[in-house]
Amino acid sequence: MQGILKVFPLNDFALIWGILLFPLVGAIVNGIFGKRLGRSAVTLMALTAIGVPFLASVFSYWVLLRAGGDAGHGHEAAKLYVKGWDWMSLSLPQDAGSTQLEVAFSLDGLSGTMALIVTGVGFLIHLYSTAYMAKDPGYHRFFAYLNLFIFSMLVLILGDSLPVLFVGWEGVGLCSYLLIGFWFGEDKNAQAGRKAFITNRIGDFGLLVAMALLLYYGGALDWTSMSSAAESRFLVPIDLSVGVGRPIGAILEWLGLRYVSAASLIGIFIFLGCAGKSAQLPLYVWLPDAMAGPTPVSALIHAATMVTAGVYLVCRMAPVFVLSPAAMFTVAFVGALTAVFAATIAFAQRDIKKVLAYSTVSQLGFMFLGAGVGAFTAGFFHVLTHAFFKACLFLGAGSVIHAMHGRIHDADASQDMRYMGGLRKYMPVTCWTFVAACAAIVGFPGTSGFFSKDEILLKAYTSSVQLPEHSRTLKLGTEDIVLMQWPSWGPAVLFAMGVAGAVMTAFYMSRLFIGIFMGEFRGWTVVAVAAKSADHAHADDGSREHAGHHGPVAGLELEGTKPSESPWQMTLPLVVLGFLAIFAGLLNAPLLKIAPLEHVLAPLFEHLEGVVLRPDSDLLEHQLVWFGVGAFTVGVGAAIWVYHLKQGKPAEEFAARFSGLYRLVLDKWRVDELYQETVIGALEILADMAVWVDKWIVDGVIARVPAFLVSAAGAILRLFQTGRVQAYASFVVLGLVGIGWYLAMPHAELSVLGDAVSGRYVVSASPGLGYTYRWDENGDGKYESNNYLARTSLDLSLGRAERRTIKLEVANVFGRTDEETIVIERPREDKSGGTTRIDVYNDDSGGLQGVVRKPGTANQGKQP
Amino acid sequence: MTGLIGILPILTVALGAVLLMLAEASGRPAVANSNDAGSGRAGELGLLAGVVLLAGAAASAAVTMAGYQNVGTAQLAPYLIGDRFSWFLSLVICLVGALSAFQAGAYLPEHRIDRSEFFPLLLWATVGALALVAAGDFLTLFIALETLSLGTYCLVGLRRTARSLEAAVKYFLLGSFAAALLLFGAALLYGATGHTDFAGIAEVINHGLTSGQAGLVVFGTALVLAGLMFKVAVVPFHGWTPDAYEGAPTAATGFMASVVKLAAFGVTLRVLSSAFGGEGLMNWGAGWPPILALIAVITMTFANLVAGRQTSVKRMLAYSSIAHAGYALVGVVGMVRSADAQASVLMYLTAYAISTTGAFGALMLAGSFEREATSYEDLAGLGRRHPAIALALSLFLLSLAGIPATAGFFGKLFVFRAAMEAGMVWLVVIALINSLIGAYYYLKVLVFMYMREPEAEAQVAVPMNSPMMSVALVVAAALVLWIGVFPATTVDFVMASVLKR
Amino acid sequence: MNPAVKAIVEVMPYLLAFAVCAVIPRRQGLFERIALGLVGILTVALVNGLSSGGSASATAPVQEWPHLLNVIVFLPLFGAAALLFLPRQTKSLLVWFTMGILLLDLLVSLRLLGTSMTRGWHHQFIADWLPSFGIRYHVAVDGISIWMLLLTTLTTPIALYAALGSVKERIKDFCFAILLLHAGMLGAFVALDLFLFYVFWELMLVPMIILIGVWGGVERIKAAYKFFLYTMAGSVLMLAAILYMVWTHRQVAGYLSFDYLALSHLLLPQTAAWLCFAAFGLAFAIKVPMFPLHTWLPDAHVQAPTGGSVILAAVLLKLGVYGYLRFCMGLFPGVAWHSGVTLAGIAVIGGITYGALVAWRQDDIKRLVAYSSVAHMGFIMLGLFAATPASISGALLQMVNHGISTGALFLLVGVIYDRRHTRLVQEFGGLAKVMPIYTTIFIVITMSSIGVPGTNGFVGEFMIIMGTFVSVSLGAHAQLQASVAAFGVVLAAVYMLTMVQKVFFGPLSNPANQRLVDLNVRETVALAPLLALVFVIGFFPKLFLDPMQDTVSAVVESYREGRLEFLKQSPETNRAVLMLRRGGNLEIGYPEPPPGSADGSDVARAAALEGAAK
Repeated sequence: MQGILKVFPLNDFALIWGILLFPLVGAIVNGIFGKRLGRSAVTLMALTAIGVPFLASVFSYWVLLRAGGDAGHGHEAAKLYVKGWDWMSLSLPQDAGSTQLEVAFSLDGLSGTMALIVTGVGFLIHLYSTAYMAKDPGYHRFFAYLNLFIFSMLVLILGDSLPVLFVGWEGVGLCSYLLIGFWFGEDKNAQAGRKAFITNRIGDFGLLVAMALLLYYGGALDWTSMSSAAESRFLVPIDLSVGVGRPIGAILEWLGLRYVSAASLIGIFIFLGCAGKSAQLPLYVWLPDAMAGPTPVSALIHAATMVTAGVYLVCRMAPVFVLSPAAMFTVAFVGALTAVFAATIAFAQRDIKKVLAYSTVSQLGFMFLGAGVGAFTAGFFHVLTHAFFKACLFLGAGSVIHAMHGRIHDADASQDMRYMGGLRKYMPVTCWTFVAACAAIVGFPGTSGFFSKDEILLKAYTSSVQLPEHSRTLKLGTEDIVLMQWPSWGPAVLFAMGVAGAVMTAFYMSRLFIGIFMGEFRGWTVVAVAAKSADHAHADDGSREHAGHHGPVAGLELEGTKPSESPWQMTLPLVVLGFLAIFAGLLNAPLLKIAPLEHVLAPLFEHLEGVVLRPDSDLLEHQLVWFGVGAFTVGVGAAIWVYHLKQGKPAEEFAARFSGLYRLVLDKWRVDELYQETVIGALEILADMAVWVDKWIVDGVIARVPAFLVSAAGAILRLFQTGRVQAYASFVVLGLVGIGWYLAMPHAELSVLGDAVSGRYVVSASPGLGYTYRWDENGDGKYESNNYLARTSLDLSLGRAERRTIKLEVANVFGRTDEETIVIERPREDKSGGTTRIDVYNDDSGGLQGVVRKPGTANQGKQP
Repeated sequence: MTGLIGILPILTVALGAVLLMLAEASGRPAVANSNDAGSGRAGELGLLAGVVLLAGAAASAAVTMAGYQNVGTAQLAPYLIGDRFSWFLSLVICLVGALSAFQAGAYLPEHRIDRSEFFPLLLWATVGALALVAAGDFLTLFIALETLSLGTYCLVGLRRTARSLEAAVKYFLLGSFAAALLLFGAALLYGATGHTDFAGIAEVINHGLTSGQAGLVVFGTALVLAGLMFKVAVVPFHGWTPDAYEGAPTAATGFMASVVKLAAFGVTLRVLSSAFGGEGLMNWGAGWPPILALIAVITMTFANLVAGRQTSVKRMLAYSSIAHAGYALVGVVGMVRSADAQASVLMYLTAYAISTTGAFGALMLAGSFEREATSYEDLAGLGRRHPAIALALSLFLLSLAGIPATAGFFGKLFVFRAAMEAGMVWLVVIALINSLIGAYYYLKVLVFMYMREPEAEAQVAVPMNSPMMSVALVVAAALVLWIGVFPATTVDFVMASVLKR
Repeated sequence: MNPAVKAIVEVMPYLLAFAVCAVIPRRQGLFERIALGLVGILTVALVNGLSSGGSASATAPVQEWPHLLNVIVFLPLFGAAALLFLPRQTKSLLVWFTMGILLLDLLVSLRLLGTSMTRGWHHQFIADWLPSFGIRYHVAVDGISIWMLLLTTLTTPIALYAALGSVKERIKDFCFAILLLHAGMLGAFVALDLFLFYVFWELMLVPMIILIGVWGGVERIKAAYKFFLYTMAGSVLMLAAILYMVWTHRQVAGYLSFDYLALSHLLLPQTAAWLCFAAFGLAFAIKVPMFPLHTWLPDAHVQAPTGGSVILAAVLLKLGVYGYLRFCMGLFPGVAWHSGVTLAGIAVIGGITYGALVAWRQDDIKRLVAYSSVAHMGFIMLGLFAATPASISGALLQMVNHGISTGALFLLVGVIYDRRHTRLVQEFGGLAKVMPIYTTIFIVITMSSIGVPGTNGFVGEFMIIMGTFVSVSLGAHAQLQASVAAFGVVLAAVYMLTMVQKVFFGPLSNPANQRLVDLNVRETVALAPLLALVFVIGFFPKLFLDPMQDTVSAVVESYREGRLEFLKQSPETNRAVLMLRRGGNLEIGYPEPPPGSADGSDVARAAALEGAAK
């Protein structure tokens, strides 16, 4: 151990580079040279690129545990850390210097476990894909993307600060964009990819703002300083009505949202990010569409790893979250709501991948429910178990689709439950692993899913987040701001929703299983002889070249050999995952008093005072189990009764009776349509308006109107150029008259030269041919003399801040007169520094009106 | 004898003119009323005239360098004053005169206007111009002015087409009208002050006038101003300019646009700063500065707006010359308060004269017999067909537009700086906005030369082939660039050449 | 270790980079391989040079060669002059001559990386130009302009190289214009004398019009006029403001000077300051362009040939930003500070949001990219208005990034335009099938343009947003404006990805696209350096941020000081003041007054009057 620590000291744990770089290299090599290397080389590269990191993370995890053991459970969690290089430096508010952003990575209990999941499950799925994608033309591209994804995911997990995490965060988004649109030949796939990316971007916007807030209040973005800063820095009140303009401020006031604590705001924005990435309401819409990607991708990215990043982030940010009951309750409530909502949709779906997709959304809801009530361990444990059984389910579905596709070459039809059934006897391995996974997800007692879900339900009822007494009301100026507390009705409601979700899960999952494996095979009539189109036996590469000739319904008239079990590369992962799905529960089973995972995560979470348990929680622990068991029994029982015993009759009757409701559920509550109509529609209208404004208003006013005016003026003035001498001559005469007239008129013009220091001002009148003047010095409105004199200037002395009105009348030789009035004010004492200020007022023709001389300034100006 | 050294330039050119007349007369007389058959010697006569004018330029330079400050005054003052001011202007006048002489020498034979009397006329007109800028007295002023004008009238009418003659007649009628105004004004001033020389007039005006005298002076001033403004061709005294410029043979147009303007502005500067230079007439309240400021604004705006609508490049250049007179006036107005204003005007005129001569020259070079380049369409695609000519024309136009690194820009900068120092920010802003409008129609030429192709079966201008013209243009271009990039020498020279008050 | 091993270790990365890059191309093109290898080597050299340069700053400062900038600026000018004497038939000679000049310029300018960018001016060179006007030839670089210089010297050769695909005729004029333009841009970036700056500023104008108007599209003449008049309109008012300041300085200090250093110490009367700021600001806002003065940009971009668009987007727009940073913020800190909030509002609403929305609705790809520049420039300007060290350095970095990504985008658009002679989105679809390499590069650049982390775009936008959020000068609005700007990131994704999807994905329906050929040697090589930079900046922004940080912090300080001085002035009494900041000690290169120049200045008059008063 010591030797290892010598090679890899905890605070400079270079092995992390190994974990990170292999997938990157794999991505680059496969991406650039893949086509030339050939499939076997690509396979080798890809598997190495994911396998080595797996071993490395196992090793690191072991070191971590040992180190943690050595360190004992101090308040400080053991942590493997490595710093890369300085990234950029960000300014702090009020010009308080700047903070350095480092590209640094760390591995602790949380990220370590996550890394194990990603690399482990990732490896299995890579292996699976080697067979599943075997015949795809874009083989190397696929694995380049997949490796790139693993790299980004690891950056996300291991990043030691929020910005570094953000790199991975958007990186995985990019990869999922590329992989969803992997078969870009079809518009709907590319569409789905874009949708995923943009929806995620909305979440990322939240994350950006959250980072800004964290920087603003916390002054740092890396985990350690954030959690240490939390209590003192983030429990400060914010007045949202500042700087948003009065009306919005009033609205906020009315909504009671005017004052919030920084922690709440940060929490909400972070959760926006998580909702985007982890497909929670209202941003879940992208995930079901994301199933357009190849099935292994759905298993890896859209079930096991990427979508759980949100939960990971919430756990990671726990120190900040627990400071805000408001934010935490939002998380929990949204989670529970999503769990139920998505489950309802899953009822009616026929596409097996869609069912699984919605079940994923719903399960993610469970995780957030757990994290939201402060049971971070429970929530995260569900991430773990879910990774196993959901991956298993997806891969199983993939294997089924693979088999179906052997005969039905329509991407949609081959995934349609209505053409399956009875596959039990054709594909035993797939079937039994599927059973295991189903058992886990519906919460069959003893399976992993049972333990994790049960823990979440329990905590939903018993656990809540409270602020310490002293900080429940904050002072902002004179106002007392009462922060929102955990609602009293919270636990009951959350628990109820949780149970409901569990029941539904049990129901639709059983429905799915029965639909696929039980009953009679409905895909095609099985005959012994090989059908003519055996050459079609390859994965759903989405190429439409031969999809046309038999649509979904046509499937029933088809003939073909019996569906075949998949090759070992596909079944082996299924077996491993199925096994884990059953037994992984033992990693954290408080019921059985064995909880190694909790043990590992404890240093991260146990010291958060915010999380409060009911006093009687230990008591309830054993009673509430029965709700879990009950949910399982009810759900599964109902499903078996409806779909197995009654062959789905009741469901059809139900659909017939409440056809409206049924349609609605079938159309996923038409949420997509709703968004299309409201948000996107509004944006589109706005854009069209902008374009119109740009064309007609902006360009018109600034470019076209002036141009028109100039040319029009030219056209008009041109008319004067008649070419007739008389006209020209008359112009000359006009000009002459004008000049004469102006010269014949007197023009009174006054100018002042003065000095603010001494108060001496000289007013002088401009001369003219044969001008004579009379003055009104004292500003009484009457001229001092009635007759005009030759006096052309006055010499005044004014007191501080004294105003004086001077009036002058001029007469010229033709007896015409003109007068002008000016007001002189001597400025009051000057405060700015020991500078002597000489004001030199020039006349009205604009320009400079004064000079300030610091002692010696002007000279310095000349002799540097 | 030494007294004459002060007017050495005038003498040189006059002598040259006499010789040239002899040379011209010794040749076979041109057949009357024919535009095509001539003595056929316009070419070498042009060359000679140019040489004479260069000699004049050399003379002015020599006198300046030798630095005979007030040699002239002994016998000739106040009638003809030989000072740095007049010498500088005669230098520039002779230079651009020489350029236009060379250009004419190439242009006339090409267009079968082979009438060699052109050159004596040109030389005598130049003599008038030189005398005009040296004139210190209203009598000499008038004589010089008429010498200049008569010569120019003939040049305009030389080409015996209807348009040419019409232009000449218009110019003549209006010109004599203006001359009359000027003369009457001078008479009034004489009546009021008993002086015809500027210094004397100023003397009387500055040291107290009886009310009777003041009245006369006021009207005298008005008339003289009107006369001068006619010569420098500013709105509303500009009427004749476009027609005369367009009707005249292009060579003559170039001469008018450069030499005549220079001379007119020269004399205007002298009159305003000496005769009307007293504070009674030269202050921001009363007197001529506000009037000229207003005229400047009207001129610039009018000329630029109308020039934008022209279809003939020649006519456009005519309007642009009006506009430039407006800009120059801005500098003249600046003389109220800024010491550098006068220098700035001289600088501006120099830059303008060279650029505009060059522009007309390039325009001539771009055309040939019955393929003359006057309209924008004629120039379409010139940049591709004859890049060198196009490049030269672009350079001169950019200089007129006031794009940096050309003489024109520097002139503008100087003038505006002077006006700014006189505290007339608003005037500068108006002038700058005008130069923006102006830039449009200069750019239009570039657009046609480089970015347009002539329409099918449209007959385009075919360049003439003349080394003399090319040399003239190269010299002009070199000057434009030199002044634009290394203005220091010119500026110092100009600053030393201003009239002392 | 022994020198041999050491040498090998040092050479290793270069060899590796060369090898890797050389292996990349699938089609056999020896030239392509070598060129790409060189790009790889250059990239490594850049990273090395920059990082070592950073370290060198700690140790002994490198001896600066005073003529470096002169060489950089005048090389292209002399090149242009020499070009006139080359025969216009020998096209390849012309091209290679020009290319040689530009590359030489690039190499010379790389030498700038050696100098450690401490506070103050570097490679300063001063020569009298027109003493009687106080006009000097005064050039120098600091941590800000150095990047603009390098961006320019890098972009122009690429632009020329790429343009050769489309420009087939009048090569001589083209090369001439390019060289002139190049010189103008470089000069404008290094000029510290306002007259000199103005000269270079205008010098760029004509070649650019020629580029647009001669080799442009159908509407090219209209676009050329629009570009010319817009820019002219801005610059004439700027000239007026310059003259006003010079004159005021004369009255205060007693001598004429167009020098930036002198004028930056001039504190104008408030109204005058507002007007001058407006005049300068207008000129730069047009160039940037900022809403609502942006409508010339789409026209110019759409009509200009590829090379022109690249230069326009990569460098010319930056001149506006640079001008605002150097002159508006340097000469009128007070006014800039107080108008900052409003302008930031315009940048956020009119630039980032509005630009993005309009971009979303364009069918012409080039037009779309043009509007996307409006949005990006909104980001950059926001960074300047926020005026925190992070936001300003972010803005500077983003200028480089925008130059790279948008430049590359125009190159890429040019590629399909050369092939299909259309840029309409609906003409394409499913190109990814036929042009995989092209698609990959396009997507990478798109990601950089919408600021995906790991690419250069992210670093800039991130720093700008973070910096704006904590900005003091924007006051209470900072947070809101930063947040809206952050939302612009979403919109960016919307319009770019919509376009990408329509062009590259979906079925390859249009038969005209069936047999489009992928990138050829020339195009790949032209794009390679930009591609490399995308990631270098994305991962190691420090290399670029470190050299600029001293200058940036200096800028921020003087900005704050200047604003305080501005507030000291009482608005009702109009005074111009010569403020010698930082205790009156002047920068090196502060203009010397000519002897006895103080006479007649108001300083002297005031002194006299003061004497009379006592």
